[in-house]
Amino acid sequence: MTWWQRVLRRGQVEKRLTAELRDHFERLVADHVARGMSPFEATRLARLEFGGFEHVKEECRDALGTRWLHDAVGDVAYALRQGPRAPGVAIFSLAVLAIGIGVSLALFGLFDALALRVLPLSEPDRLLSLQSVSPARPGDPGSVPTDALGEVRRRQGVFAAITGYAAGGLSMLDEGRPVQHGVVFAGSEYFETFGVQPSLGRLLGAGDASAQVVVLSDDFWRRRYNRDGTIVGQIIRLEDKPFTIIGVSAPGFVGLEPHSGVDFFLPIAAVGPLLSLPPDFPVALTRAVGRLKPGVSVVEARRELAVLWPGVLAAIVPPDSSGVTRTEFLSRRLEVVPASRGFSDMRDWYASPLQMLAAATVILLLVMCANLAGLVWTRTLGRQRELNVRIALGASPGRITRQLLTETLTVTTAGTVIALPIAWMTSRALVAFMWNDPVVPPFDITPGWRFYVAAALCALMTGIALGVLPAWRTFRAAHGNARLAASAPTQSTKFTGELLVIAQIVIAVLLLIGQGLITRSLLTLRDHRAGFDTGGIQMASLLPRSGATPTDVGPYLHGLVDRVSTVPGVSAAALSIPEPLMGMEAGEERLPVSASDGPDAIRIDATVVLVSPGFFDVMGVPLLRGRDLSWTDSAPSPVVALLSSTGAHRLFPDGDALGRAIRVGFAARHQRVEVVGIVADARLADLHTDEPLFVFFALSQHPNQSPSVVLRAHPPARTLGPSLRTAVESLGHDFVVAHRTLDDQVAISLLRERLMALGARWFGAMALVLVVAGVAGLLSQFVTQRTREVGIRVALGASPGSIRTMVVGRTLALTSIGLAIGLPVAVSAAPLLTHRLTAVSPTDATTLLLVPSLMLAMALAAAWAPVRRATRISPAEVLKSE
Amino acid sequence: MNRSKSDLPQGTLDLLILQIVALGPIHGYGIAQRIRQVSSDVLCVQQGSLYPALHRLENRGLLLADWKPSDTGREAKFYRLSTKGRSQLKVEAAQWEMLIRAVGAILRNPEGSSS
Repeated sequence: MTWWQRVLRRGQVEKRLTAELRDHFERLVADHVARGMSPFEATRLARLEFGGFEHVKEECRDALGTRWLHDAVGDVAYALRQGPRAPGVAIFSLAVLAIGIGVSLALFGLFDALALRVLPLSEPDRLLSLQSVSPARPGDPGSVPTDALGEVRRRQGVFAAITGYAAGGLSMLDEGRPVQHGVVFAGSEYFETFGVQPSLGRLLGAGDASAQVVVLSDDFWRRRYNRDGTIVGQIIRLEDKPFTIIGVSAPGFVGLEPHSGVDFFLPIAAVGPLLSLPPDFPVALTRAVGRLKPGVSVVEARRELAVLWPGVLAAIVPPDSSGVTRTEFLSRRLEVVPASRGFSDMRDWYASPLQMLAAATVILLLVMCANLAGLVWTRTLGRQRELNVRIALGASPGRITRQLLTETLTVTTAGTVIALPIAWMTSRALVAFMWNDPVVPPFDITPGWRFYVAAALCALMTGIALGVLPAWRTFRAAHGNARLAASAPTQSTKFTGELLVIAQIVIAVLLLIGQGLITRSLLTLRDHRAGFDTGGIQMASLLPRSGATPTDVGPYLHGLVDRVSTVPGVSAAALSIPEPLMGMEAGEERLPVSASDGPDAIRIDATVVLVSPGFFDVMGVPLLRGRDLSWTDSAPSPVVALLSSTGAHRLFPDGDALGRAIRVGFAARHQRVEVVGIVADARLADLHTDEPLFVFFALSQHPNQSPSVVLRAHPPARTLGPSLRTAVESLGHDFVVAHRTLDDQVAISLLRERLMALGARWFGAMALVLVVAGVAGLLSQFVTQRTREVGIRVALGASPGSIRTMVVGRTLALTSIGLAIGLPVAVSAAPLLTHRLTAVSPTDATTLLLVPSLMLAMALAAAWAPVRRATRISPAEVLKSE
Repeated sequence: MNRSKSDLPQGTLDLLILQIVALGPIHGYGIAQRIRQVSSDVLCVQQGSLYPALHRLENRGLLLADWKPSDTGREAKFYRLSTKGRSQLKVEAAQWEMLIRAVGAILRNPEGSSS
């Protein structure tokens, strides 16, 4: 029989073992009889010679190699029978495990999907991305210039293929409405570098450089065309220009940016005509990427590229540059980074909140383990009699330990299995919460193998964590120390429960302080940070209608404001670029600003916003001095600007900014800009900004189609939507693509804080529930142990009050110890959290006051039931039970 | 967990079993008898160690077993050597010879050999 047969046909194995030994025994008897003994005498002697029948069988079973498995199956069955004996405990444990592990796995799944997966390509480890780093901004790598990529391609010998691309977006009309799509403008050798094969038709090749052709992403082909095989050769209109579909790329392939939702791949030469750029307009590459030749290591590639890089720079440095500009250009470094996981703004954007949530999860798991370990510990003490009987019957210490660990592992495995759907639903909900991009479909969060490995590890680690204390005690007890096994819990074992509860309180304090700080930060950002009232303001993003550029943009914008102001319900309207509170998403532009006169003038980096007259009225930002911009500030007249109050003070600390001239950026016409007004401080671009440093230019002096519309209106955005859309689109130049309230925009810009606060709220609440359960369980055990003592005290005349004091005193002692340890730890750890948060100090008084009070209140609430029970102990019943 | 009750040196029992089974299919009782007879009652194998050893060797794939009718009329479990068991026997026998020779050499020359 093979091992598997022996495992599965256990009954037969046993029967044969008995038959074999019996055969031996009978032959022995027969031999003795043959030598002349009486059958009775022969049997007796054979018994003596043979030894313990069962003992030999046991050793044979050990020799079979299937023993541990059968034991384990038995242990699991035994563990499962334990559940119904104490259903309350079983349900509580499973619920705690399922929720705790579920949330942890959800976060891990998200992290896995966002950060750990490699691109679905062959040999992604061979992909390297090239970036150039300017010495002026060492932490902010930029893309390699197009001509530099050409030089590198010509000189290098380490890459099998090297390419560059520009990521972008464009719109396609779908039933008359523009729909935004993610696009990759691919340089030469793009698909060769990634090693991608077409699903249909062909991919972009060398001959397509200047052709009007497009390759669809597999996902878009499925979504939009339902995998129609006849799509190749059809013509679609992108930005109202015809492109021929030549093929579909491989499933799952969206280039180097896995969360960017690419629908189209176009030749890079198509950028100019598509976006109506001037013929010589330089297209900046998003990234350059190369695939290493077989056998070439990353180190070798780095070395070779470092050697040839100065030559590349020297070849492309603009011949007319000189001085500092030239030196700066020539001192750019080349950075070569692995690209196997691709690059993701989403990943970078959420890295910090996800790390914090992960840390909170670990802390929550610790509370959970401490809580359940306390529960298991108490249960084991209650089962001491059963375990003693087993030890007395000859169970080895190892065997008992293994059984106890199997029991906790069975429970945690069951909890993990229940946790899987919880994890799945939670990560779906989290993604839906985090996702705020109307263009890009949410990324794939289907669990990968890492997710299941993590789940198995969760079950294993928690199982061991819960079982190790009781198992250790039993092991020691069984190992010759019979007195310990038989005795009532000694002092040292009694403290274990207390220590576990104190640990829970300490950890819960950490979580709650963290939650408090995060919530404070969010509330401050939302309600007190902007510097203006966000209520009642709505905004709409516009998208230019292809081929419908107005001949004169200035008058068009003026007309646009007038037209929108007449929409019923709208009381005031204005325009701005960028949209208010779009922050870094809109690529908030900061330029160096200084006073024009004086060579050693103070220089600040300020955000430049183009606004129409009336913008500050709509936003509710008061004009402190001077005048608002006006439609008469037109393109030919001298450029004027408004400053934010802090900006004005920083630039002209000792005088009045009004009427002075400032220098903004590098453009010639911005070297002497008159400050005509100063407005109150308001964080119009990003609520997280430290100092509101703003320069406002007149949109009428910097004509730009498709600004955002801001308006004050009474009807809700949904009601106002259609009439606003009609008003804007009737002018024939722009579409309205998004329309929402400024409060919605605030919520979107605070997504990361809201995600953290949401997580922290859940984790804090769960930690509190666990602590209450832990304290209540411990006190209840305490009361049970003291039943006799309390009964005698009452019999001797103790008042219910003194009994109450006894239990409550214990609660307060435990909580105080927990707080005394937890608070200092929390305060010293708080800066780790607050340096990633805005507008909250690590020693936030409210938080530091609220958390201990809450903890004490909860502990006292947990003491309620045990106190009640203790004061109702009647001496007569105690004596009866003796 | 196998406490050896035989007075045989460690590992010798396996070698003896393999050697006896090599002579032809034989049941457990027969092996015990044969060891006793051949060694003229010097070596006595306890059942408590014989059967665990047989099952261990079977588990390791050195022995194969068949249930066949025997002289008593009942079915008995007959052990025979597998190919793997045969080569294992050769290895162990050679090692045993070497050990005997080495120990013998030391015993014959108490002062130690010239080296």
